[in-house]
Amino acid sequence: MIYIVPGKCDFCGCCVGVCPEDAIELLEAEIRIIDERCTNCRKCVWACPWEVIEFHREGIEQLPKELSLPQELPPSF
Amino acid sequence: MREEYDIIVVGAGPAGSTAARYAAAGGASVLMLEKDRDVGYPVRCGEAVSHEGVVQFIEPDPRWIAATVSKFRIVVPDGSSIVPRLDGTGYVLERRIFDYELAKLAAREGADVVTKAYVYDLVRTNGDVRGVRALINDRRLEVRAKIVIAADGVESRVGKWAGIDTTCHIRDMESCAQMTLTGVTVDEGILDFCFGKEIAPGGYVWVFPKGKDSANVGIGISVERAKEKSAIRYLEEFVARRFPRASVLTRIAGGVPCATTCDEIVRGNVMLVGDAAHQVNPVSGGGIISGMIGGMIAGQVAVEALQKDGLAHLKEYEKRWHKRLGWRHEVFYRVKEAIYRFSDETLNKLCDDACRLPEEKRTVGSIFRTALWNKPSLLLDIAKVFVS
Repeated sequence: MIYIVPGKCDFCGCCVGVCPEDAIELLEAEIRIIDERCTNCRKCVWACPWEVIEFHREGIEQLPKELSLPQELPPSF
Repeated sequence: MREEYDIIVVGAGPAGSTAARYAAAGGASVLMLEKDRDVGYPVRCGEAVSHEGVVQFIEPDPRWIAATVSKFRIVVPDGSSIVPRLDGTGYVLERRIFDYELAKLAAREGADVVTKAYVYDLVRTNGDVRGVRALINDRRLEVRAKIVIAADGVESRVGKWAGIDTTCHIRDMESCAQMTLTGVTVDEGILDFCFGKEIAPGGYVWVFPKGKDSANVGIGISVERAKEKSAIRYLEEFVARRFPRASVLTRIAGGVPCATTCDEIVRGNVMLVGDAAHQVNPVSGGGIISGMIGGMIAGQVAVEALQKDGLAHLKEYEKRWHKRLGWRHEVFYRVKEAIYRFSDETLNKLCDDACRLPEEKRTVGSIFRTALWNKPSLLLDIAKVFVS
């Protein structure tokens, strides 16, 4: 599935311009993929100048790298 | 703001403001809605325009001119460069002030301008578009209009809702990033365009001076030709090499539809202008003046339709646009395809040949002719794109 890394987007609209399904909603400082329309074509992933949009084959269960928890927790835990 | 207008313009960039201005000047009641809280900001643009382009609409004013330029330089992959002879001057703008002025001109003609107004749907009755639904200051409102002009930029959706295919093919979409740098040494009067597959595949890097020690340094790369690495990475590499000590005042992303005009720019009572209609010079990616020309024609035709000729007259916009600039963009599109088929070696050779021309003969046309003369296979390349 297509995933937008939170907090990284510059809201430029390049992804919306290449989306053939009208599946991206862009406001002044909000962006979201309309999942019902998205066909996972990945054009938005390639178009993004900022590397904000990712494609995850496994779907929603797999968190993007930026959000994953550290492998080893500090000793205080 | 009223509940009903003759014309609603969606988007307050140069194309939208110009459409609103000419429509209001012709006597129509006009509402222009801008999704961002500010007109003219953030600036997603290299900001260069020609003098002759801009004076058609507004008298040049030092308040929105960051630099005056008289030359452009093409830098090829081996680092050599050529400065073609050019008559006329250009400007690097301060778009945040420039766009404000254009919106003011629309307001002075009587248009209502509202910011923080996000249009999320069209109002329809029996399939006909009767206005827009918008989120205005967090309130959902319905505003009615006889004509909707979509000036909603590269991210345009209004046209799609009206049934027009405005999707830009990834071959033609330029994925862009720009930094405004300060503490740099640049030639104040020269626009730089740097080409090469390593620097910017399917596009170029621009260095546009903004005053003595500042510049817009940006990049556009073809989405299709550069799937592996993003625009910002290419730009960071370029800046690290060329301006390692610069301070960064702005970092911004963007997209430019370097295509020909959309096949359809009017459907029913919905008109598209500017980037939304792909009214962009496909070689340079420049869209300020062409968007304003599109906006002007759309505004004028909309008024004619309302006042005497009926909505069927809106198709006239398509005709006038193609006669004025659309046909030229089709030729430029083929030139673009030829340029981006050149290998880096060919670009180096082209520059080398052109540098042998006497200085007074280094016009863009003669550089092109010399290139063809010295490397006839280029002619075949270009012939292929012109006939295909």
